[in-house]
Amino acid sequence: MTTASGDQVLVIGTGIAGTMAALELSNRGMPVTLAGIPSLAGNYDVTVTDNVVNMFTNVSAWEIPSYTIAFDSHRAAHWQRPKLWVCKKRAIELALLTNALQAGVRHLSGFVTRLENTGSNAWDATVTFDGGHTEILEAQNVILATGADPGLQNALPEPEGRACAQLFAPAEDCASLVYLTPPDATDPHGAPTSIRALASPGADTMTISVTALVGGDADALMKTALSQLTALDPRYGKLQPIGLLETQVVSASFNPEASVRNGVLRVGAAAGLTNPFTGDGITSAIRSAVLAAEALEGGSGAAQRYRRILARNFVGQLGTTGHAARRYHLAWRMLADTASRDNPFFAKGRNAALLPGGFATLNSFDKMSLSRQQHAHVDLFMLSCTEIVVATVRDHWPFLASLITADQGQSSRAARPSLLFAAATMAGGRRPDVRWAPVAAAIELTMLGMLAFTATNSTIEAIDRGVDWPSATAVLAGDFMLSRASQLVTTYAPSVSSAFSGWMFDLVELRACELAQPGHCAEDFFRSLLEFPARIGADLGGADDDTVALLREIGRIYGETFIHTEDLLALRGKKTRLDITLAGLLGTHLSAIPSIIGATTAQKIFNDGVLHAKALKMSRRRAVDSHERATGIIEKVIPDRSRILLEDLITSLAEPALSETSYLEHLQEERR
Amino acid sequence: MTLPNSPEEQYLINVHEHLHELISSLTPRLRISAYNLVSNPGKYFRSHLLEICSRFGSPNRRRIVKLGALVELLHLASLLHDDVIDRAASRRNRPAAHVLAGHEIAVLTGAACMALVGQEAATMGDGIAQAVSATAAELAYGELLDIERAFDFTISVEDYTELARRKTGALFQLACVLGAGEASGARATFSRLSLFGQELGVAFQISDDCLDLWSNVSDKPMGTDHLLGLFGLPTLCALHGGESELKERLMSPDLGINDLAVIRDLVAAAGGVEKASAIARLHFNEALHSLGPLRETLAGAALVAASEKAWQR
Repeated sequence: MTTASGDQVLVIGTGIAGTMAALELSNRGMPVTLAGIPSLAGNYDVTVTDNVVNMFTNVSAWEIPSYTIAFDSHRAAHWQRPKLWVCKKRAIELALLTNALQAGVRHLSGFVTRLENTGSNAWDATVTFDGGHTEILEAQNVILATGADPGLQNALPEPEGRACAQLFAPAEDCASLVYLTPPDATDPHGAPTSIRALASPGADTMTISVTALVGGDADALMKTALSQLTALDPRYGKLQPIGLLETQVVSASFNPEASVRNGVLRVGAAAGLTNPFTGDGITSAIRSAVLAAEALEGGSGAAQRYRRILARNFVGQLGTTGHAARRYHLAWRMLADTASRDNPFFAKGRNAALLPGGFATLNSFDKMSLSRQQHAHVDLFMLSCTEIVVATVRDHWPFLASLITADQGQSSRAARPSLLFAAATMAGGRRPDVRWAPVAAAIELTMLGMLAFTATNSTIEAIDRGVDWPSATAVLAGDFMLSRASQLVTTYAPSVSSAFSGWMFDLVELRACELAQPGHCAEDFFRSLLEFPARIGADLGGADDDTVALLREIGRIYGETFIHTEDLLALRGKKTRLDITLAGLLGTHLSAIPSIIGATTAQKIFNDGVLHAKALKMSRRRAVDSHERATGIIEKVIPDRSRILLEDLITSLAEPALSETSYLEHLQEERR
Repeated sequence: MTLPNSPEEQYLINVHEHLHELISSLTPRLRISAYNLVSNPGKYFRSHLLEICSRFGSPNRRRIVKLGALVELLHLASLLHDDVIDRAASRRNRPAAHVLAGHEIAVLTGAACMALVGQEAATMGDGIAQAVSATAAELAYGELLDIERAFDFTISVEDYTELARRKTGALFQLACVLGAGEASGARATFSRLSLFGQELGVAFQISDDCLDLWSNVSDKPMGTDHLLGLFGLPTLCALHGGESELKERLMSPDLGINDLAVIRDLVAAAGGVEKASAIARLHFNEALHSLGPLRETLAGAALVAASEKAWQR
């Protein structure tokens, strides 16, 4: 039997990635055929993010109260309420398939046994069903979602790893944790093995899963995993298997170029999208599926578009080169040594590398994203900026690139310095010119580089052997990002390279000043940090001198707003945009609180109600005041596009201070 | 009566003075760390190379001095950061900056110097600013490769050479290229000098590895990088030869400063120093070879002479 359907998309594979891709395509109004026999496997628990759980109403899921990643018996990173959920893998697959069928996806429960490219955007496939009968179909595009297993033109170039999972009971008081086993000290080429123990609060069961990127026998892997867990905590020794040992091939060899082969778009595990540290693949399976649908929706040129979209959304954290093992070892050493460091650079790195979905669901920058449709004209500019930032560091230091993709979140309009830059380039009356996107990228890299330098102090007393990994990594990362930033500017905007180096110089001097005299220069540091993007943006955008002067002042005030709202969030015990606590802000000298109440510690503030109240009140007042001043000046910016974006940006930045005002006002209203 | 300085000496004095001038724009709290290094200068070999390379034309002397100081400042910035990364307690027989001022201040001083380099380069022309920033990026990547490979005793000679090319070769190359650029001579001359600088840098890096093990000419205590898990080419050559006792000792968590003498002996006994010296010599010869017909010129002969002199440490 033959069905001719020219503009069809054929999705091969009914796992999470494939079904999700089919569902997305159908929701976007594209005819889609999903081929594959739904698996009966997946009878174990997995971790998923908020946004995945929110897709389904009919999947039982339990929120994880706290999340621990252990590096060895004495080092671990902890997250409280990380907005992660536990649910059965099979339940997600079934729910997805149900949704897909309801959305009009045509499902063929058979295997694709032949796939031929018959011309540009023309495919011919044979689906073979149980019993041997076949169906031939034509499609314009093909998405491959058959996992990392070598199969139908599917061999990945890198040696594959193995993942296995099994259900155990009773969970009793065994904690959920991810154990990133230490690299073998005698084998410099040893690849990562991660073990996950995931308790299901609803069923008193525990899923143990192992991901070993060099592969191995499943039974042996599981046995080793259990004994390693038991060595960490004897309570794991009581677990008895109650389910089958399920196993699959995995690969962490993602690179954007290989994500499309022979015109076929690969999603999920088929694209090598497994987190080498934690073994997580579900989040990226879903995300890559959505991105593939997005790429196909744009019509011709989908393959190239998909590569580009993937390139700015995912980073193969280890790369495919001979550097992979060394990179893993360096990252592991750094992560292990900084597991509990309250520093923005380490915290962001930790979140990006170790949390499922990177930082995406937790990203506070993301929450501040400006959703109004009238800002859509900056999207292209912001996407190019992210693309450049990632491309600039990906090949040489993928770990940093993953930090960037995670921190930038999924929104192209997050309230970031590059968005301020984009707004400023429009102050001269033009649209943002992608020619200047490298400058925006350089600004982002410089900010991250400066954050890295806050982490360079040694925290290790005396070490006999080895490098002081945290300090060394921070110096290296700072140097690397700042030098790449300079290179972007001298190459793409030489007219501002002197100003750019001058800015870097000022930032460094202000940091040194604050270190020497806490309370004197932290505010100026942030003023300078945001003054430059505003000034240079306006300048490059062709604004007149008066407008450039306005923008400079706006940038400075933004800096004030940022630091005071950051303080405010920390004082309220909330998560800050720098991802640290009050102790971390004060410890890294990134707070203006010492300028209000003198040099102090977080403990002193939290133990002293009066002091705490004073710091809160003053920080909020300063933030509100800076917001008012900014708004007053922004009114004078003439082009609508620029002015409205600047207004929305400052409102979004000042939100923590403004929302409290309205809350207080609300209380006062009630009293009346 | 004092003898007047030779033009070469006078040039290095001018470079030194200009370097002072550049650093004086740092605020006092950052200036101290930089000043400690400037007041105790190395041999200014990089700016010396730059000046000789400029002799292939008739350059503007003032610019040559500024560029020489710029290259030395970039070198100084990278030294400040390297010492933090390598936990080196001393530099040129004095306590390292981070020991005196603390890690973060030493790092910020290096970053401030890097920013000064960028500002100065921007005043010299777009091409120069690009070349300088590209080199800074190479140096940073070279340093990353150096740390990334910690405890990897299997690093091949090729990988190690790549690392040395970025870590040391890039800056030598920049010095030669900037000098050649000012000479504004033929394209071929420029390319030859560029290659010369790069190979010479690799030769000196490997030769430094040998000196670090074998004599106390070097300004660091002998062989301490082994404690960091960073093995120089002599050690790697010895390991490639299958020296198993050496490997066991190097990978042992208990390796301490008192074991370094044994390590040195093992490396030497396995012929590691000889092999590495021979490789260094190859790169040195390659550098000279890449000059080709330039060797017949006055400037070329001066370049060879200066390199030979520095090589006979």
